[in-house]
Amino acid sequence: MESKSSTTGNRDNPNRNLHGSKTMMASHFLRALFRIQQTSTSSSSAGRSRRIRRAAYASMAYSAGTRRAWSRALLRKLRSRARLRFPRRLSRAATPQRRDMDQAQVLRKLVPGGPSMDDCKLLEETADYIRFLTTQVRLMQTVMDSISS
Amino acid sequence: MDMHGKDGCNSLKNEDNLDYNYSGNSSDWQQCNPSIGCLDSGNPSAAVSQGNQIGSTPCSSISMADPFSAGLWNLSTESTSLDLCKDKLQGSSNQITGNSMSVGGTLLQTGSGVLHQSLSHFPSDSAFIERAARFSCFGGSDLGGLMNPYSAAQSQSPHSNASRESSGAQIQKNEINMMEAVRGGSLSTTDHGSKEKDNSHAAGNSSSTLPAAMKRKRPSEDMALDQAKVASQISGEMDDDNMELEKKAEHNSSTAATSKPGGKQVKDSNESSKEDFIHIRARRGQATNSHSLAERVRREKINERMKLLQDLVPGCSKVTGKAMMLDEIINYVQSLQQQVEFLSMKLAAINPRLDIDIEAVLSKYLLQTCNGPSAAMGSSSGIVRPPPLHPSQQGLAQAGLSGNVNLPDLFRRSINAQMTAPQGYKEPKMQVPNAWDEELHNVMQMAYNGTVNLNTHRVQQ
Repeated sequence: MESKSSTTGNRDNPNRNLHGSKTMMASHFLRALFRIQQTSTSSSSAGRSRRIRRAAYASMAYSAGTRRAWSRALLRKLRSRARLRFPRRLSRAATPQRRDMDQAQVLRKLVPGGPSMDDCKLLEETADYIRFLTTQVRLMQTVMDSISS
Repeated sequence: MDMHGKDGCNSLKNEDNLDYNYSGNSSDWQQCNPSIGCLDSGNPSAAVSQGNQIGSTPCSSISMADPFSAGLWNLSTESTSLDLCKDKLQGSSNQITGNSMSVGGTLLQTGSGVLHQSLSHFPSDSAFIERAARFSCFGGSDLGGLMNPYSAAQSQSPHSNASRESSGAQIQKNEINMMEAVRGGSLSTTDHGSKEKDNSHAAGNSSSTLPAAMKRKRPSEDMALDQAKVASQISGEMDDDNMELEKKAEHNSSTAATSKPGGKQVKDSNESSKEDFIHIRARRGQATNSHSLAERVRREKINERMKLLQDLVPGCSKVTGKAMMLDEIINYVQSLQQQVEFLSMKLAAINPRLDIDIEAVLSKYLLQTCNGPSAAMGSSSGIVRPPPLHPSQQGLAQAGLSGNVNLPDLFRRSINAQMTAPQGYKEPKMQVPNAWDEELHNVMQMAYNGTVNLNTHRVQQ
């Protein structure tokens, strides 16, 4: 993450935007965490974990804004109150004979808003999505570490 | 989404027109351009007729320009400058129509001054310079005027695309972007007659010297398709229509390409309808087959994106080949999503101790962003806080943000303070930070106090 402040990336602007959005992501996520903690102390751990996961994706999408297609699709999904479903099973992509043909399809399922993109835009959105995902994961890990220390 | 609200006439309605006009109506364009052979095929004329129809109604013409320009601006990811650019584009379009467009070179020159402002928002400005340089080879002195405004633009927005792509691809992008602006301007005009004459004129006398001029006119109609695609993509709700458009574009362009094997110009214009805003001019000694040119451009674009992804995904640098890299990328995205789930489960399990979170963020960000705006912190520390936290937090903020942090001390101090503090901090209010570069101190305060509008000083990143 330290490199994001300096210009080690290919482009200056996305890194700078990411840095600004890191703070936004952190504040949004932490506030959501507080809210979840206070409002659902008696509910099950599974329900809480679902809510925390939703909060994680929400903070990602809010900090990314409406500039990217994936964040717009994610915001749409969140606002419609639908359950956040993400394909986690690795077995789907494992069939070797279908591998080359379906790679783009698999990627489209992973990235929000994927099905409505052509290949070129899909790769672009994937790159941005990966950036924000890594930021979110690191944020959550830091929160975890600080709690458990 | 954002664009719809701007137009009096619905952009939705215009995109419906696009679908309807696909059936290939006859049009003024078709009649006035006999030399352009490909007009007999369905797709380009359809797009042209669509452009005509839209241009004929003043209300819808202006609104048509808006989703297109909106689409263009969104391409450059500057949604905030939409209004500004829209005004500029409309102003430029008026100017363009005012000038006679005899040949593409002069057109560009007269519009260049105005185009410059609007085009400075395009991401590939530096690519413009290259294309302007190419133009000067073809069109002589007229296009020299193009060089100056765009050279200024080049310094403003260095774009890595230009460096990575070949010059041929740069030409393509330049032409396409230029033609987008021209198209946006031309759409709002009702003066189609002069344009058509210019088309035939250009086609007649410049088949060898200025084929680029011809191409500029031809793919513009196809770009109406693409622009509609982009506009609909941006709206988001038009996903289905967008797919239809894309499929139709692909299908029609392929049929058009196969039916017109002769003529470099025709091929190039046909292949331009296949891609997103790419117009290709075949270079000397290269295959002018429409398919190969189109694929080459697509490949270059995709390769550039893959390089970006290679940097992002760890362990991808030694893997070569698109298939393997895509595998890696897919695995990485899946693993990241799994990590998010796993971490959220763990966070849910150990939830009760969340009051120490702030220090985590504090430490993380202090390590990474050692900006020291202590003045801002001093002023904002006057905001109401639970009393026991007051001195420790202030000291924390100032010490931490001044850059030299003793982390263990920081933690100890904060944790001690929090242990003694009452647990009754207010729930943070639901407010999204206004500034992108809000200071970390704001994060802390928001989480603890749940107050107010923190009008702290803008901190430089």
